[in-house]
Amino acid sequence: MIFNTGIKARAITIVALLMMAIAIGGCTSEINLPILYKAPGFTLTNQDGQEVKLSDFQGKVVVMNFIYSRCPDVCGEENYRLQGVWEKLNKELRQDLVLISVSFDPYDTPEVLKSYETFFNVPGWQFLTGTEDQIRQVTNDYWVSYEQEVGGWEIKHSIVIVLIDRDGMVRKTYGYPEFPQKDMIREIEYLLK
Amino acid sequence: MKYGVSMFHTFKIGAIFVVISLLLAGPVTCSAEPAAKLNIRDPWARPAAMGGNAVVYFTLVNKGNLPDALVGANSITADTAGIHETRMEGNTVRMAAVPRIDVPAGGRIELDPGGFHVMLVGLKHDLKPGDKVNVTLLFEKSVEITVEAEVRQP
Repeated sequence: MIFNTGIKARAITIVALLMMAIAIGGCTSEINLPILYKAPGFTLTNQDGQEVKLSDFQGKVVVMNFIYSRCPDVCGEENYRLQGVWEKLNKELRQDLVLISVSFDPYDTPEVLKSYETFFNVPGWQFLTGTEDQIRQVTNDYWVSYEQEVGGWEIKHSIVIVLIDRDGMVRKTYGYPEFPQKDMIREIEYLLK
Repeated sequence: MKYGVSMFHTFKIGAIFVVISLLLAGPVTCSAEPAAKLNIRDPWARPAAMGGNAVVYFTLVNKGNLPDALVGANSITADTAGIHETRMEGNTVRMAAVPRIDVPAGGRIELDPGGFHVMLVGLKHDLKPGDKVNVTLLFEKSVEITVEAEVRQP
């Protein structure tokens, strides 16, 4: 009986220690954001008709995606979720975050993008357009593919969301259909701190 | 006298026959005809700008004992309307027009972001949050249903 009691006590202690280790590990899981590459620069035009360079946002954290305004399902949902990320960020930190959406649709002139901007509620969100060459260049640089339907409005495209740190380095890209909102919030806040 | 009794007897038999016929016709008529019974729940649309495109989402429920299919849509709010499905093709995504969405008997189909949706192409005016947009849904077997979708973000 003494022998059984001793084994039981040791088993309980081991289980308790294991549970503590798991709990501590879960609370302090590390964020893995290696520096991937220097974010390629670009010069485009925003919804106010102003020239915008990526370097204008040096010192800020940038989240950039590639959409077009006539894509109300996927692109609309993606932008709505990005707005959700911004809304859930720490309010003091998020003033150093810039959202950028680059459109690959020639239909999206600054005037069209100005109207599109009104559907979202994030101050400073840059909706960018450019010449065909400028758009080709920036989408190539960020490995975004797109193809306009011949004679139509639809554009097949890949989904890429790029996370750029304050030093202009790409730290992560997110894809579709996964949109890990909680992870994005943690990772953006990590870069903002 | 004999004639009167005979007439009454004939009338009585005829009346009984009519009553029996009506009693049999009622239940036989009501239970034999299969039918789809379609219902649209929570229709909503994203905000969108004049000249652009909008999406309408909803849940389509078929409480009947007959399958049916959504085969089209139209709306005076846009140049054209149709059923689309968002699909991944390799690493690209596209919104493909589809000819129909089958709704099984007793089943339901969700039209929601990233999947099936009704697309309004070439909006004639802005759709702002709080606006309502009417869309007429066309079915293979059932009569068309016009829904009023609320414009909102989810």
